[in-house]
Amino acid sequence: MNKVNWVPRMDETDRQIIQATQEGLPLVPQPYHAIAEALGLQPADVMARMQRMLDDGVIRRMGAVPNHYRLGIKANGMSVWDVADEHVRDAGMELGALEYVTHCYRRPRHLPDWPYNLFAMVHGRRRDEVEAQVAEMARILGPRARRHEILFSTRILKKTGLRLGA
Amino acid sequence: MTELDDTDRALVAALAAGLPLVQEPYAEIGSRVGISETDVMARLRRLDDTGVIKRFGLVVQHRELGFNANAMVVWDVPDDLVGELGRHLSVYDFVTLCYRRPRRLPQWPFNLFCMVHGKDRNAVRAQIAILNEETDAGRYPNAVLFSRKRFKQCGARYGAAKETADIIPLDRNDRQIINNLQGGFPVCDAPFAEAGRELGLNEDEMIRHIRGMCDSGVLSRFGPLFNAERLGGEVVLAAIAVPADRFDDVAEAVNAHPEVAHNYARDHRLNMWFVVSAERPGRIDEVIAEIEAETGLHVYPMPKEEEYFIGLKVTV
Repeated sequence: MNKVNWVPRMDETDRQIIQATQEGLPLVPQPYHAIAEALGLQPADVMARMQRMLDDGVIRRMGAVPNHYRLGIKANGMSVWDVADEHVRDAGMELGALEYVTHCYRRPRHLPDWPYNLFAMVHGRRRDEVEAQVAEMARILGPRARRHEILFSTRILKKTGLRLGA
Repeated sequence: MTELDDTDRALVAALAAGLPLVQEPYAEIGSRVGISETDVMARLRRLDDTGVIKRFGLVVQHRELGFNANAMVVWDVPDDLVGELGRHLSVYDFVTLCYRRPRRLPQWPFNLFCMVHGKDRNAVRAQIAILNEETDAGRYPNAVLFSRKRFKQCGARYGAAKETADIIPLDRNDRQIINNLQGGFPVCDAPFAEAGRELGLNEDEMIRHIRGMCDSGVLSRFGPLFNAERLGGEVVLAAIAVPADRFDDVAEAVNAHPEVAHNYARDHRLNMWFVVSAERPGRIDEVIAEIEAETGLHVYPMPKEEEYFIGLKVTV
């Protein structure tokens, strides 16, 4: 569980490192040295700053970022749950721990139109696989989930990557 | 195909490195190839006319001239209009390439591509804004992909021009890397060697497998996954219940806002779900108010109140 609003101090050099790495590390034996050379910095400085960004959660994690579609994981369902406020944190942690849940957040209800306050994205190879996973999630939450739905995406209307540090 | 004789071939080879920087370059080339200056010029004119030589003169290294930014801009244009729009776009001198390419549905809806060069990203963005405005290209769904750094990276791949099958076969080592290295890549002098030790792979094998998966598009990239909110930006999910007969018009109005990063149709009464992101505090509320004013529809903001997990990890 993370606080959403905390922002650590970042300087211009940090931003340069973000720009230089947001599309990937150089695939060479000493990638941090290559970044340092490209930016005119010391390798130790680049490594210390990136380690700090990892510690601060600016970098969520570092490594392979798979393309779900290319791995055959083509169904994405947004599962939404109405959970009593006093249970929502535990419920969120339990759903978030499941391997097939990729994001899990508490969001505001908009009554009466929208009663759901817990969102969990579920990825799978096909819709029926996602539906089976959501059924398992419903069993885990038991009566804490008063109702739920799955919203499958039917069309991508726009997709531009978030660009950082520009 | 134009017939080239041996002298033509020798001439092309002699010119491959560029025109000699002397007062009489054609005479100089002629003496190297063993023909007269007049013959050189006649042959070059013929090669030029027949298109064997595409261009004669400066071949520009964009990066060396300070054109450090270039972006691929892509649009999803109705098939019957794509040719005309492509011709309009290619008129601009900052557009260096413009192609129609096949869509790769559902993940790649775009069919018109062009490359835009500029001194920096802001200059490129301004040029793209001109294209979208003046040619009306901005009314179609579009995306901007800035080029990667020049060193070989595993950058964002979208599989646009790839002819490969949708699903890529993986070997045992690929699976090992995907399953064990979606995080935890070390920050040290020789991280590939270090990460490989645990997987039983040497540095060279690690780099080769990761590069292979980047090239085939199995990996979108290899490197840090940043948390936009920790960088001071705000990101809010929002939803609208759009009447079916107005869906495309509303999508167009929503997508026209540059702050809207993603927009998905979903099968629910709230059938349009999009993400608004902005650096300036308060800007997101303004964008939502603008969308409400433009569409006359209520926008439901769904900001994150608490985050329980963001894994995005997969096992193969």
